Amino acid sequence: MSRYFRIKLGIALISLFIAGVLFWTFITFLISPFYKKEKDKSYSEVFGFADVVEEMPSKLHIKLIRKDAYFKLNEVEDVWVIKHSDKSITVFSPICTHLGCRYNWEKKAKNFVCPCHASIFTIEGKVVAGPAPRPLDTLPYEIKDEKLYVEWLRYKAGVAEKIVIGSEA
Amino acid sequence: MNKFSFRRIGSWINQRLPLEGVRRWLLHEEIPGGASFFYSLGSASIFLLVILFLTGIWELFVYVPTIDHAYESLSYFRLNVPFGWLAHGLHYWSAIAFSVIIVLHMIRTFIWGAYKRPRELIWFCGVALFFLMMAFMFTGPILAWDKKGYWAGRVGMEMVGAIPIFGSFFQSIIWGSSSLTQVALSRMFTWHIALLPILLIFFLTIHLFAFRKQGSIGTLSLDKKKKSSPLWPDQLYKNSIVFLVLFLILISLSVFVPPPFGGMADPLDTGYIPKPAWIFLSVYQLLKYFPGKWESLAIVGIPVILGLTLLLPPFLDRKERRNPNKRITAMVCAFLLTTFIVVLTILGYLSGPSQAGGNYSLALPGSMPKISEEVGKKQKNLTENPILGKSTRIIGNYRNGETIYENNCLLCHGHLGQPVRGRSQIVTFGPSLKPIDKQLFDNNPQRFVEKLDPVIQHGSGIMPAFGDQAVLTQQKIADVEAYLLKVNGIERTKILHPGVSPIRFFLILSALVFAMLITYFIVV
Repeated sequence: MSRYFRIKLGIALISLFIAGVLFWTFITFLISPFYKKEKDKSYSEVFGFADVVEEMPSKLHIKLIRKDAYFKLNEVEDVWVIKHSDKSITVFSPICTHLGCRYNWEKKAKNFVCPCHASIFTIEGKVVAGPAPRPLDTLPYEIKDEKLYVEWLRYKAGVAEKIVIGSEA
Repeated sequence: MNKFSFRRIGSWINQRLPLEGVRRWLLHEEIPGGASFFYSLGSASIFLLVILFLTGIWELFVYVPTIDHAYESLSYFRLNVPFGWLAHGLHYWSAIAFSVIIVLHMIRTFIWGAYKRPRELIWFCGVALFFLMMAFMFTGPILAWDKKGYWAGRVGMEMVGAIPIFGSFFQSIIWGSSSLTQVALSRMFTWHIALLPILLIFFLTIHLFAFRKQGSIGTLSLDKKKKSSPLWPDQLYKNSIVFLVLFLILISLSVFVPPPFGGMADPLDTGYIPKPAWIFLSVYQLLKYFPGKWESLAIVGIPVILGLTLLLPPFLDRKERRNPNKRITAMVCAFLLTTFIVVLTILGYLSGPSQAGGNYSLALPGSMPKISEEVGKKQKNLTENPILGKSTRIIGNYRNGETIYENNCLLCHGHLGQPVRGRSQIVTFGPSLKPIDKQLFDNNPQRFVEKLDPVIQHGSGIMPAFGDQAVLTQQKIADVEAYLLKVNGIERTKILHPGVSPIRFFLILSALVFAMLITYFIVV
């Protein structure tokens, strides 16, 4: 084995080592948001729950404290709440399952209607018309001391499966 | 793919780009007297520059150059971003290593007489690069917006402002402002990441082209000069060993001696004694010998004299001989100058207290601030609906925090949290802070601080509202919080998302180096 081969091998190994370390650490940093672990469950209070009428969908506000890097941002979101009884309620995400628009409750038709592409949902959230691929998404909730707390989650739009994609507003 | 395919690909590229010519120009050079580790210093400085560029770009993904967010974004990068601790550590230590290597490179070049005709331009560009390096060392630390960087920048700004007639003009060009504010930070940021790198690349390109035109000066011995060895692969092999050693040293420093968290810049902190980066310590010390009106002369005079001293050798030492044994005058002058600068640097480092205790207000029992009882009542359950101050987003310095604690909290909470007995002037004993109430304790330093913070900010019971009543600044509260975490066994600077923890990373790298050496010796 020639001296020049040994030297070139040494240069190659050292270069590969240094470049490899820098590449590995940088790529790990770059793709780390993709592998971000789910944060702990956090329930936020829903305002105006006491005034909800039974079997009448009500759009209520929820205050979220969202963490963005080192920021803590206050944001307000909406949820649809349907009270069936004192202990039984349904909380829907306000986001249409088709392409992410915000839908409304039509009193006359007694349906949820999305203005973007005319998806129509029953009071139970089932799809009766339009392109929505799945029923309205429900959100986890708990009732403590007659107050309603909801865990805000975002689901992937446009697919038949209910897949959580995050908790940003 | 076999060698034949690579040759075809290479041929295809060479027909369209002059790569073969570039490769030959880059690598085909003879080193008179053979390859040497002494000739690696220039390449080592370029290697460090590459590390600095890469890690600097890495930090740009997260760093925010505003006075509100500079320190927080950098702290977040170091503690919450995978391998952020490594990127920042490499950047910090590479900058220091770069300044050391450049100085050694200049000394080696001087001793070898490699500034003489026809190499004057190489030397002049080298001097320009040296001053650019100092400019980088001046603009960089300010960007962290921590105490050290802020005060070093502030002192530098005041010194420039003190230059007669042109002081304000230079201040406005360099900082865009006569005080260290957002405008100044933005300008320092632009200098550091854009304008100075452009100037550096410009002078480095001329430096390298001029060097390649003249070739390596090689050994001083005429006998040894008869033998030569090629740049590729002999000299590059020695260079790569130097690179590897440097790289491992930088990684080790990043792991075991990470850059300190000095606490966020606090313009109201009158107790902090600023000290410049090591490269400026000699100037810092020298200025002390020019009191009063002479100081402004020294501020102008010293850089001019230093610049002339470095630029004059090609004009003063014109004789062709390069052997240092035959250039006694030049060697003695260089030795005296180097010794002078080294002594001043050491004196500058040792002079004055390393960090003042801080001139913080002392909360005495009779003079305690009015207790915020209403807020105290609201804080019945410390973990519910906390009203958090800005201090929760600042990584404080626990050493500063210890001093603040002693000046503000000791009388009620005692030394390290243990209640003090037998002191009749103490009206009440505060709750123990070591160990702290379980309701407040948390293994996660950020959550721990967020539990502590409302109590310190808004008071609780008879405890003063140190934040609401501005008894302590947010930076000082952050320092106290860091100290309280420390005494309870939690590091405020704990890396929450390291990617791979520093120690484990070091062990993995050590194993890789060992495997590499084994592979090399087995194959060889």
